[in-house]
Amino acid sequence: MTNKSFIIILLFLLATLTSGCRDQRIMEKLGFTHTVAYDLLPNGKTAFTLTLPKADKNSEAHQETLTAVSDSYKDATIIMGRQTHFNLVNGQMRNVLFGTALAKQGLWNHLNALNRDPVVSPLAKITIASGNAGDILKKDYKEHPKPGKYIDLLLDKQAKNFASYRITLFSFSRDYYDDGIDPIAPTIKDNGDTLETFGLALFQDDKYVTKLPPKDTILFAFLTGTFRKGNWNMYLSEKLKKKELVVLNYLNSTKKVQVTHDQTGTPHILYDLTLKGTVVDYTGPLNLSIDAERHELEKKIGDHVRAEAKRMVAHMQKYKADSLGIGKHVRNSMSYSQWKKMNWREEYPKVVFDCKIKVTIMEYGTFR
Amino acid sequence: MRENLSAFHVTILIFMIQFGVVLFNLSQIEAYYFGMNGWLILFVVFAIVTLNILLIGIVYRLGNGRSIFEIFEEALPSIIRIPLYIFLTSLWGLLGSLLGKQYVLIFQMIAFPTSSTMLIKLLIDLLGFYLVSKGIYTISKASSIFFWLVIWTAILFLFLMKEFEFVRLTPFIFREHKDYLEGFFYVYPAFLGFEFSLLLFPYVNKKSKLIKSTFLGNLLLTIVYLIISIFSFGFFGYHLLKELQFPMIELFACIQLPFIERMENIIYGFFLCTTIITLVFYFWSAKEALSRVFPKVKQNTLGIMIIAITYLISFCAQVLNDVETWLRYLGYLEIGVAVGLPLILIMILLLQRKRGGIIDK
Repeated sequence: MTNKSFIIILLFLLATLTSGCRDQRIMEKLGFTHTVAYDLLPNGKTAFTLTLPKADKNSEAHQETLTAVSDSYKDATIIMGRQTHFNLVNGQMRNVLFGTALAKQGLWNHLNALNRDPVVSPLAKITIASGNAGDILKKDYKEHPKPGKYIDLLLDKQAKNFASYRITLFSFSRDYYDDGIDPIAPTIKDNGDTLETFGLALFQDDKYVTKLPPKDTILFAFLTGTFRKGNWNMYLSEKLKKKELVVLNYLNSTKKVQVTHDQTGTPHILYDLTLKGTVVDYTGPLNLSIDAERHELEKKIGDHVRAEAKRMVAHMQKYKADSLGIGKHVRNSMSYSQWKKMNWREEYPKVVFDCKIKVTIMEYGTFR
Repeated sequence: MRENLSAFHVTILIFMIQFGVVLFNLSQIEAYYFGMNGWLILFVVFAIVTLNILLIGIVYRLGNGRSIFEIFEEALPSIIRIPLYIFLTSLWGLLGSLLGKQYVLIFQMIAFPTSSTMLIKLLIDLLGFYLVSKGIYTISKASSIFFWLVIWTAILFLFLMKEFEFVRLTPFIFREHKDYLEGFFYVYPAFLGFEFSLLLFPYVNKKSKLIKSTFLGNLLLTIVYLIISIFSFGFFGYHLLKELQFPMIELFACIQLPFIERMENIIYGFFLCTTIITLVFYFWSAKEALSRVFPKVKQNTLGIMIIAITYLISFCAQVLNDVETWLRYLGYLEIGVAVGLPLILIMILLLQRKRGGIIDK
């Protein structure tokens, strides 16, 4: 081996080995923030609660919970850093929980701070806690994982079935910035021994204004056109003697939106939807193996969904929260100057909404 | 026998020189300066760059493929020539050095934030020097390999398709735009690099189809830019996009696979490949120009000199914003070179032709 190549190899080895000495990140010394809860205090400050999962065999606890009161999360982590022997890092943050009171006041300042930090993942989930968020994190749900992990798994599973929504820091910010849609976020509620996903929080810009009950989340997903699969149960008739329940599964939907303007300039929105699904349960008088009766049920489902959709949109219009993003379609149907002239927030409640639904029952199970 | 660059290699090389860190904020620039659907400006820039490449084609045709340095040496006295070469050397050397520094500074936003910037830059410059010392053929072959190392990342966008909405693009064109001209001077540098086909004259033959290959390289670049820009507009929406510092990093950060997330940390590393080709080519060109001033000095010594001196100068630009400001001004000069150099050469060649200095084949 020549002298020159020896030196090169030596330098190379030195470079590879010593480069590990800079900027060390030793797992055992790091506290990975998993879930952070923000709550508004009566004095206007914010209470921060965060959970760190622990992989320490010697310790009984599987989670460390820290709290601090401050104005900003970054400042709070410094205070919380004084309470733990871990170095707090935010790269693995999975969930950000906001108490209702804070959400009503507006979230943007806090979210903007998280957005600014390149370490925080844009995929961190945004969730609204019904009541106080910090209390949920401090609780122990005996038969379930630790709260941080519990919420995370629960939301992921529910979102897959469209029983809830997966709203991330990124998607919330995007809808906040877009002038034709308002953000939403899933809500969770403490039931004592369990947690429960509890519908959707609807925002006006970054302020929580109203919510949708859990039974409406699938309808909401259907209207946004993102709905793929899940169980959708509808009471077609709730009269005591003739209760008619139908449960649809494995759904497939498409959506087209048409916008027209009447003489006064008020936008008319027509959602043209198709819905294909399997009936897994039906407690009514119709016999599904007879084509005519099945088509009658299809029509009944269509009418029911249409009425429900109109009710839901009317509710959103009442609170001036354009959570479906109707504004995006209205905007795209007008010229730029017309759109800018229109005050969408004020115009939105006046919009005439309707939908046209074509339901197809693909199959109805193994029994005729 | 002298080796010649193949047409494919020239295409990839030109693409890789043009393609660089600017990709990471290109769509933000489009949104900020050109407003809604700002990506449409790429068509305009593409057309202008094509004209610029045609200018280079005229030089190639008129000069019968002679090196531009030879053309200068026949026509200009050394009192004009040498300052011109020194100017080109400093411009290209500094651009190469600062592009490297920009890459490192962005890299440090996501990894190794407390390490010394200049130490990491030193490593990149060393890599660059090794490649420069191997000459143009090795650089072009390396760039073909690096091309594949980078281009596969495009597949990752498929994972984000479900978040893309055409509705978000809006039907409005260039609404809420800022100063067009200023924006143009931000977007045009993203295409710079094609002008280096001027320096490739001695290394190609007829089969290389230099001008066609340069055009194809630029076309490929435009297509890649278009896909990324349209995607960014439909993914983030115009209003969020103009607020983002580096939309591309954000895009990669939004990819989540069952076994991995926070992909941006890895992916950004792959973009070293394109950055290094860009900066190596700037260094190589600087060295080519300088070797005409000092023909007797060994090529590698010149390479080390250029990289070392520009390394020292790059100490002055400490933070990302400084580096970007420097790059902007140097970019203006480089635009001047990209347009001016071919024009001067065409004038010289036409004058020579008038005097009958060159006999047409």
